[in-house]
Amino acid sequence: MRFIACGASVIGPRHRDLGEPNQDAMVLAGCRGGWIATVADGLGSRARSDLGARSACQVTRRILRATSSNFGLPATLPLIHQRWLEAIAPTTPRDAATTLLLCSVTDLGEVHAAQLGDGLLLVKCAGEFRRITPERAAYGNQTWALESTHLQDKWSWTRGRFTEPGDGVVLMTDGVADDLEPAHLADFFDALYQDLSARNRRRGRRWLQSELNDWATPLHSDDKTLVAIFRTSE
Amino acid sequence: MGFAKYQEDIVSRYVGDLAMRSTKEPASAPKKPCPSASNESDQRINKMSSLKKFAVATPRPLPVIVLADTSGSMGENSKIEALNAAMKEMVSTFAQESRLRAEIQVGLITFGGKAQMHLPLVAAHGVTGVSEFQAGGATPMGAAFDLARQLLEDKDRIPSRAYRPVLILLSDGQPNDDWEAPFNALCNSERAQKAVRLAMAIGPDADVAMLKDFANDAEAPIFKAHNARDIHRFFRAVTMSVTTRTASQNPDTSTAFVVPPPDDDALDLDF
Repeated sequence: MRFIACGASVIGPRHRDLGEPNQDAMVLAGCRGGWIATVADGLGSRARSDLGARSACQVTRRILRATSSNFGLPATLPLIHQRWLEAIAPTTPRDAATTLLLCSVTDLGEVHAAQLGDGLLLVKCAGEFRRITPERAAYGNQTWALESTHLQDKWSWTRGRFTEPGDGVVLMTDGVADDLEPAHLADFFDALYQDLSARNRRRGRRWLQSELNDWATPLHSDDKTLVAIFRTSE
Repeated sequence: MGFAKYQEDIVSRYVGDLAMRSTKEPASAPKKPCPSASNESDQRINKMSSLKKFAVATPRPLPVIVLADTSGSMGENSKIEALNAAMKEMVSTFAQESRLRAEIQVGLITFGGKAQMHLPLVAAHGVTGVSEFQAGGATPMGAAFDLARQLLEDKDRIPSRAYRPVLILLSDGQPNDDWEAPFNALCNSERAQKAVRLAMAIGPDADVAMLKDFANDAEAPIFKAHNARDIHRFFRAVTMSVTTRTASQNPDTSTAFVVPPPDDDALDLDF
């Protein structure tokens, strides 16, 4: 089975103007013929949210690499939280609070994905598109996050199997997600597949970076991170 | 920052990497126009869709909603005139603000005789003129709370991507309708309760206890206006707080609510 995987993270105009670091982070790594992807968005109001986001991505990658192909993702979430707390020490969890989206795709197309906090997690399995992220109840930037206490009931997760070309998983932070037309997420997903499947990985990443840097929503300000993994053939 | 560039497995460089494949189409990729033989692959790519067409075409809004008491008592001691002038100044400042990373929207709800939407929620830069409040009638504050809650709960008028709205209540008297149930509904609504709530008591007859219960921003305890200048000072503090939020790293974070000191040279009579 073949996949195309691509990700990009760009600093938002607000942070660039203020000389602040990118508070988003991402990891996209091959693993035994499959892929691991994580995306995190440090809470803007917290002093070390950039550290929190980077640490969340790194510990998730390490944990997912060590799992067997038939692991249970929900049971792994408390371990991710625990390892994150260890990784950010001595920084307090409050200062490093971050959202986290993650997915693992095996060489056979088995996908496990989960999300805590805002952003968007989109999955297509057997040609059926699904938005895993629940509808936001309140307003922008009000989100659950990795902090001192593990909140199992605030996580969303899913599993499935990529059975046909065009199936895939897309993870993105709220800098992208909040500026997407909610009614056209499935079209967005398919357009992303079309665009990435026509480019090699390096060109795909450049194209994605350029799309995120030249974002069309007026006054857009937030950091933007997007990772996509698609099945392309048998 | 991304780490994929440096941290991919050796295996992953060769497994599933499209760069290692021929340029043939994916097995069942969606149909695309067939390029002519003379087209380079870059030309083919340039014809493809970009992600821009999926982006929302409007900025993220930051709604500011004022609940203004326009009952008969506001016609005394030039209170309504001071309020009209302060509102105009606030809207004008919002419209001119150039540091923004959000679009400030203004909505005005008045309650004097009846509660009504005096100005629907619109972008401040699009407000050409705010018609002046006229004082008259009783104080149906409960009905105004209902209007505010309906607005805050409406995802079409205030989308989920909006920054936390600011709700400002100002009154110089006691509500005289059944206000407690609408007040509790507003404060307990899953969505509406998340708004920042500020309050100003105008003059000695305002229901200070209720206004204190309404205010929920630790940075901004209830403000008491004793004269017309105080009304201006309060709205300047609101203006500064909102515009600071729109230019800050995180517009949803509460900012210091600093009411400017009174101008001692000015003569102003207390209400």
